[in-house]
Amino acid sequence: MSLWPSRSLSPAPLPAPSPSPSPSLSLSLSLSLSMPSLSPPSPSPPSPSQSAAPVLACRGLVVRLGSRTVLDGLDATLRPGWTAVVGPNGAGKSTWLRALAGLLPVAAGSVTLGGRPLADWAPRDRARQLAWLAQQDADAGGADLLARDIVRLARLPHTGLTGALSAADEAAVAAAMAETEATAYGARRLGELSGGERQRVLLARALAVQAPVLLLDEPTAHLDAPHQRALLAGLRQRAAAGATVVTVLHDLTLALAADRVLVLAGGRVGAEGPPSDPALRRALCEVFDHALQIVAVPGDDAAAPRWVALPALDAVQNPAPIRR
Amino acid sequence: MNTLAAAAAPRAMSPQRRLGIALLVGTALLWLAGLLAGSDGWTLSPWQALAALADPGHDWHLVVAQIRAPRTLGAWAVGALLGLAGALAQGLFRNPLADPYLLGSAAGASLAVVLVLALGTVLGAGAAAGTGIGLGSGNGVGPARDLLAAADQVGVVGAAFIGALVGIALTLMLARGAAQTLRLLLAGVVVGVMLTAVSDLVTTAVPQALRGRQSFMLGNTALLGWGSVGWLVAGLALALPLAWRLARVLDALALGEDSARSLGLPLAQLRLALVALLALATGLAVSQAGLIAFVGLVAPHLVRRCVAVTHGTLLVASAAAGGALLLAADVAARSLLAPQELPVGVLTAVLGGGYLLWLLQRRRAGA
Amino acid sequence: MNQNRSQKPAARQRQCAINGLRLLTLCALFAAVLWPAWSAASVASPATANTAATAPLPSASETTLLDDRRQRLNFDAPPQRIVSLLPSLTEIVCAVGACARLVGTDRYSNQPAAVRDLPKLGGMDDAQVEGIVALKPDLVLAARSTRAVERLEALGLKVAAFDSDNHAQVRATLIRLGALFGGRIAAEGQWASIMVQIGGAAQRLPPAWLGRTVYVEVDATPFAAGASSFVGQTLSVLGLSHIVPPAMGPFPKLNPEFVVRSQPDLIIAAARNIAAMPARPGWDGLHALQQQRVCALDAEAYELVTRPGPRLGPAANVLVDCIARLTPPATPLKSLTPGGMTVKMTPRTTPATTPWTAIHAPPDRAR
Repeated sequence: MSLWPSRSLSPAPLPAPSPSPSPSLSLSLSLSLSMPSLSPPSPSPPSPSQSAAPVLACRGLVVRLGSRTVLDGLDATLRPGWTAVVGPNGAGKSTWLRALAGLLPVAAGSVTLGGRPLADWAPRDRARQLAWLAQQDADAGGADLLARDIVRLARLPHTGLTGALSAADEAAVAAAMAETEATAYGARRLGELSGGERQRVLLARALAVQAPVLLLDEPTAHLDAPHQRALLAGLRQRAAAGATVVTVLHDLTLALAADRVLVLAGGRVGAEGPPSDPALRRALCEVFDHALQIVAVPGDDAAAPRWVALPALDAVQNPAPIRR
Repeated sequence: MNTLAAAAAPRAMSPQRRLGIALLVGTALLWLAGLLAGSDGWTLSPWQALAALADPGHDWHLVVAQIRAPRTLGAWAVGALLGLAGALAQGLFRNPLADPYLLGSAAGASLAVVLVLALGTVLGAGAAAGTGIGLGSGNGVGPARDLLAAADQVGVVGAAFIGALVGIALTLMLARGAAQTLRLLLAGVVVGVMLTAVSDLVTTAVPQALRGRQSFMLGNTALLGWGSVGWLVAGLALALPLAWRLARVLDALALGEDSARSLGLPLAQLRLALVALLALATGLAVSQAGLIAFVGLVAPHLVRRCVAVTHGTLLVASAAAGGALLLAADVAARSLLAPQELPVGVLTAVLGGGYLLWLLQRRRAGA
Repeated sequence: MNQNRSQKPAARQRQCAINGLRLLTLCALFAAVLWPAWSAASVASPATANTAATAPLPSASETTLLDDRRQRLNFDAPPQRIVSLLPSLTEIVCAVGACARLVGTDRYSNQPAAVRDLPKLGGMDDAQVEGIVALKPDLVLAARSTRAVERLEALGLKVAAFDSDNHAQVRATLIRLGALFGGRIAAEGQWASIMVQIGGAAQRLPPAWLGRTVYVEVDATPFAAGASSFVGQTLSVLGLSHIVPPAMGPFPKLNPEFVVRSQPDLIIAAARNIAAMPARPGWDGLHALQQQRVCALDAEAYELVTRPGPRLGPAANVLVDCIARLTPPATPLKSLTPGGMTVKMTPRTTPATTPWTAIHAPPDRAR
């Protein structure tokens, strides 16, 4: 069962805000959202499924980098479902994700996973529950390793340092690479791949852990539109199956496709809620200085509009000093 | 399903297998060459050499079995330890220019050698050193008949080993553990500079130790006997399996420390284990053969240019490549100007650097 | 590459300017490095107005000195203040009668006794430039490889550098310095008497030792003193032959296997090195070590034997004294083709019972 739309449809990259969507557009939209249940998930906790992810929460989280306080008393609870984290530059999104993954020392407050503090978890157990994907920068290492070996690293929490990879491990690796369409690059060195190909390999690594909690920092970076859409479709499927998916996204349109949007501003949670909540949308516009406007685009199902964030047209056409 | 099948099927491993065969065949040929290369060039035939090795009554048995064989194996083992240490250092620091001497092991070993030589001179057992001809003490392990000579020999070898370990321990103390790469690197540089300064001070006070220090720093494989080979092979047998088990840490580290930690690896302890392994390999190699440069730096690159492998295979292949490189340099040092010898460090630079340049050129032409 | 093309012209100009600046900095660095060397070289060649070097020298005192770098130093009067940075040069200066003019020596100069109270100015690698300059010498004598030579010449001092590898060079140095201080013919007479002393020592060599091979070791790497070194030439005059032929140079670095296969009849080295020899791989098969046909020289004797100065005669006597005490080898004379021998060598099976003999130079023998 492939989650990727067939190439022959050649869907449009971004739905245009026209009242009557073109037939190909609706087809692509329905395909990308072709899930068993098409209704948008509700903000209330979902019905308990077989693989409900442990709840990741933080209370009063204070994180300092050098002399700067990046996160200042952040409270949040991340339940199963897809949460998109957005915010202005320097709001602390990546730092927060690192702190949630247990990679940064916290100055105050706590992070709990499934009710237990993160520090109480054994590193390997925690790694089996939490998968983290770093924000990709230009000159990260690992250039000499083969892509498949990089994805195989994901099974470290399961096999341990010296265990051999079982057939199940190899299957997980193969499935993750198939999901991000990185199988063709399996035998190539990481340094030879383009930005998008490399991102897909690293995504496969994050997915191959098969962890119920996914913390992904800018997973759509460098990806072209079809792969972006397919990735988010895969994330939505996992979220619907009971995983907790947290993605930091700078593209607000993609973020507004999530179940919940969490707005980070000034080291705290500015607003939180489903995209259908008008209060959230207002808060979003405010946080981004009204440099954007959020428009509803009718989906194939009239009861479930899609939200699109556009640059505010008047600001582009009539440049005015940005209010601070 | 096609893609899944292709993904699940074992790789053809053609480049890996090719490299493995090349290393095996090359090493075997070099071992044979080591038995044949001697002070008169290449006069012995392979069959004669093997017969001399097997038969204690053969005319050439002493030369082939007691001199050339241990020297060949010893040089190969030293190169293997240095190649392994170099691959460890490059993986640990994620820097292709790292070499095994980065963490103060070289400075520590040479300081210890200087101290032993200075003590020996001060205690009145050394010969004068005022003629402009270099003087040093012997190096090589074995039963000694004179107490002072015994202390001298075991002293220099043992002191070099302990000095290398002490240098690395000082670096770890200064960096407060192996947790952070940058701090470890800086501490290594600082410790190296400080220990070199102390050893300069000692040679100023006791100038007779200067020659011995210089000959130690040049590196010498000429006097490796079966005792040395025993230590080296034991060390290699200990280090290689440990390195194999720790190899995945280096793989995970390649993507960044945070990624490695997010995969559930207790990085602080594992990096400490890697540094300890590095210390063992480097200390052993340096104590037996002095500071031979370039092998640790170049061997992993030679492997990586040919084939892309995970660190498990890379560590073992680097050891094999390092052994082959140093052995080739030793054979060349023996045979180019027989019966004179060239410094082996110069030849490792020429051979290793030349081959690496050729590989780079070929890559650039083909890419 | 794409970025360069799409750079604006202003940015490209800036890039050109930066590159030009880098080039200029490199040139400046080069100049800064080469300038002192060049200026030193130009200073070092003083007014070479009258450089007629072909005429035979009269016995009156000369006012020019030609050193082994083919540089000619001119003096208005014979130098009154001399600094010597090599012990053998110190002895030569004293031998030609200019001992009272010495104002400073290196730290190893200890003969004759008069120079022991002079200020000590470091060694070959660490000559104290300030101390030397402060003594305001008219002439500084050094070895070719003394590191401070260029620096001293740049500071305006007259430096003469000499080689001392073989008899001819020692003779040339003796005669040139003798000519400078007023006695060329006397210096020639001194050299003749040295030769007579060596000849006299040769008379005392037991006939059984004539033509026997000898191995002289000066460093444990191993470095040997070959047939073309001054030690080797003395031994040749005494009647011995060498395993190291003249073609290999005065002090070659040998393959230790070569020594084992050559089976020298006699080994001459410092006592400490001799004690360490049996531990070297294969060396316990050397008949000379097994039967104690060694001259294990203690510190004073070693210093005497390895000093290329006017005491070559006493050195020859020391060597003959040592050899005369040893049992000559019973085997017939071997041919002198090292490396071509296939003599069966038996490793040592019985432990040593007698300690190594150390030879002490008789204090007042033929000075």
